[in-house]
Amino acid sequence: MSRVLALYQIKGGVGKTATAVNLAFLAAAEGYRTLLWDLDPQGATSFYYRVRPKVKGGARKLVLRKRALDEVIKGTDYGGLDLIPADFSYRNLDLDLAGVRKPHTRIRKLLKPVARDYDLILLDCAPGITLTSESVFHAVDALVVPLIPTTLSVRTYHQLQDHLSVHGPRRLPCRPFFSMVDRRRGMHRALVDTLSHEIPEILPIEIPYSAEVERMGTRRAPVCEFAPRSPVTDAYRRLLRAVMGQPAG
Amino acid sequence: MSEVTFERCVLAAPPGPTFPDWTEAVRQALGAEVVHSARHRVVWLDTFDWRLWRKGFVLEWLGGDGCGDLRLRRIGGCRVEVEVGGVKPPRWPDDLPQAGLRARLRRMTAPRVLLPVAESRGRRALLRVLGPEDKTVLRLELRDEAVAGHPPQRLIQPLPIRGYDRALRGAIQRLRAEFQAQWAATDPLGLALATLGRAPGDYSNKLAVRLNPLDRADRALKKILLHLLDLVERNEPGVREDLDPEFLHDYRVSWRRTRSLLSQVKKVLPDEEVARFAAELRWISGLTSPVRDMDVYLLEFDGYRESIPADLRPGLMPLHALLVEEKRKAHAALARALSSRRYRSFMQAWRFFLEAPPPAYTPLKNAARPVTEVASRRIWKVFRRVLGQGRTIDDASPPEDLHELRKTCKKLRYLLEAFASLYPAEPLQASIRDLKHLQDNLGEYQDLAVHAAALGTFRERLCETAPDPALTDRAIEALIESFQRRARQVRQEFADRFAAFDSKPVRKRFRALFKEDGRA
Ligand SMILES: Nc1ncnc2c1ncn2[C@@H]1O[C@H](COP(=O)(O)OP(=O)(O)OP(=O)(O)O)[C@@H](O)[C@H]1O
Ligand SMILES: [Mg+2]
Repeated sequence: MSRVLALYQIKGGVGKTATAVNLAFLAAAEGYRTLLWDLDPQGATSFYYRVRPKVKGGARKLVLRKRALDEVIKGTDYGGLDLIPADFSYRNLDLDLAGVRKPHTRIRKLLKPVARDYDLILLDCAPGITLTSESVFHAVDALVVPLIPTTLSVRTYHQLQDHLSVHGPRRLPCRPFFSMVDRRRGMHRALVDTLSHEIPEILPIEIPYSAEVERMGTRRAPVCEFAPRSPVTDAYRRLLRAVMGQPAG
Repeated sequence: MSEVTFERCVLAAPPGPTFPDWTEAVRQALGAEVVHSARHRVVWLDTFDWRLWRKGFVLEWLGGDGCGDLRLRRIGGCRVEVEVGGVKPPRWPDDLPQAGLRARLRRMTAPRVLLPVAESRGRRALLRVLGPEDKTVLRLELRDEAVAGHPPQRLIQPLPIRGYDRALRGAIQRLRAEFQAQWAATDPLGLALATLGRAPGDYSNKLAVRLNPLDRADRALKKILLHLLDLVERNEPGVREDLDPEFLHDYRVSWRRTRSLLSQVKKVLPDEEVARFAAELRWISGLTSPVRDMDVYLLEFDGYRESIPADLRPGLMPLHALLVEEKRKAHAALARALSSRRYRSFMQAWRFFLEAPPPAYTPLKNAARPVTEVASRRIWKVFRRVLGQGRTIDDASPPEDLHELRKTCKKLRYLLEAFASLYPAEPLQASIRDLKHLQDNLGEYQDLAVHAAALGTFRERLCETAPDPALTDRAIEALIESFQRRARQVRQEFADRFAAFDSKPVRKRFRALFKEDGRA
């Protein structure tokens, strides 16, 4: 049985893609058969993995099940890690979904035939509350939610909770964690402390703000690959253990 | 269909230029780059009974002297499912630091140890072909390797990347046209084993003896017993070294089947000799039982822990230590016995007896009769006994009655399996399934009783030595109670299970197989 997780936040630019790219890489290196689906029309994940952001027939054919997900999967440069690339047509995903019956279960249905080939399926989502994100909620076992320690991102986290309690499937767990934490900033430190109390489900894991992560754009590879011993890699490793339910250590 | 290219595994190329020259020529032809090139060793790993192979997998380790890569692929296919780096060839899945592969291998192989099933040495070069934006679109491994003492083989292992089939097809075309490479007939593991005159999957603990239905009973019985002796001997080294608990298990089961057949199939082999051998078999069984008991408790230990409240669990640690120690002692005694003169001379005598051709004239009533007749009559009789014993059992019957029935069922099961080849496969397997359903219930009931009793003894012994005797005492008590609860449940299920076995369709099938025998 595979585990399906989505990197999701209402707010943009919080580290969803950086996290998805690195968690997927680390999971494959741990021997989990891993599939990463780049659901963002901007295609940042596909870019990092050097895979052309192109799906034959576009989002529409996938959503209408005229093309199986299986046919558009691309292997990355790393053993055990496959990718479903982004496509510019994903910007119309909401419209395509709106045209089918029961759009909220569509992504789950699309994933079903490939699920048995993988131990972990990660979805990298575009920000915002959309029909697509609703369909994602019904396809996953949990949401992995990056939180930058700012008051605003905390507010959006509460908005997400409210939204899920009304529109989400019952008991969809959230696994929030701190993203882009700059320990030199007093406000970050203070917020990490208070939020750890206010949001009991928050994982005790901080992904530090690191210039290495920004180098992913020029290296076009996960930071965990080209800087395996950096602190940020270590933090991603702990996050993987937490979301895969293994003991820390 | 694009997937077809994944169905084949490896190309073989004729010898010719030196390895570096060959690598360079291939590199140029494919416009590839060399990632690395070095001396290497391949070690293929599987359990003694080929659990990975039987599930369709090959586990191969490739590396130099230190750490290397471990790959899991489908048999005969080249797509790597899982690949991890920086490891030594593992003996246990738990030796691996990579959680995903560890869990996957454990699911497929536990509780068996991973053994090297073949090994080869040589040179290896990893090539990769880059596409637009420097994306890797194909990896290829060039290998010159040899199984010890055999001439080297030149292999090309494509490591295709999903969704880049065109790169794969193009490369293979050129390799075939310019380098005379051909798809090999089998998996690299199959190739390595073939040079050793072996084939994968060449051990199974199943009793797979093909008998001739018209053969004399004594000859057929000896054939079965010889097969069981082979199984015993193949497991013996693993038992001696205690590589994993399954060696002893298979070893014991083969002897138990032997004993059961000797006592079940009467007037076929000379009584006196059989009695002499039976005494030695009891001796061996007495030596293996304590080891197996401890193995079982240790295998179940995690389950034991889970079944009691968390605060009591630390109390079981002294029990674990005691089990390990008892196991060590019992195994040492067994290993001594297996090296003894008594054991060696018994094994020789037993083989000598089984290999001797049956005499033309025999005073034994059943010896010269067709085996099918003898087997059917016996099976029918034991089947009737199962029904007879089962029908007397009601909700008030003592546990001993169920244990007796369990033993009779086991006899029936061994007979069915030993003589299976004499009967049409489908109804026979169905009958075994029906019986197994009943046996599972009786077996569990018996095990729970035995385990609860054994725990009672351990509890007494630990009440002095455990660091926190009160805690250990409560922990074991909780465990015994959980066994008793489960035993009550199992006991309640018995009536239904037996009724299912003592039903018209089951009886009819047994009758058709063993009673009417084509005559009535
Ligand atoms: N831990 C980090 N340290 C430093 N920079 C980071 C870190 N994580 C992400 N970034 C940078 O922040 C920017 C946004 O990150 P990312 O693309 O991962 O966020 P996102 O949530 O996926 O954004 P979007 O909502 O646009 O999809 C990127 O430029 C990225 O390189
Ligand atoms: Mg993103």
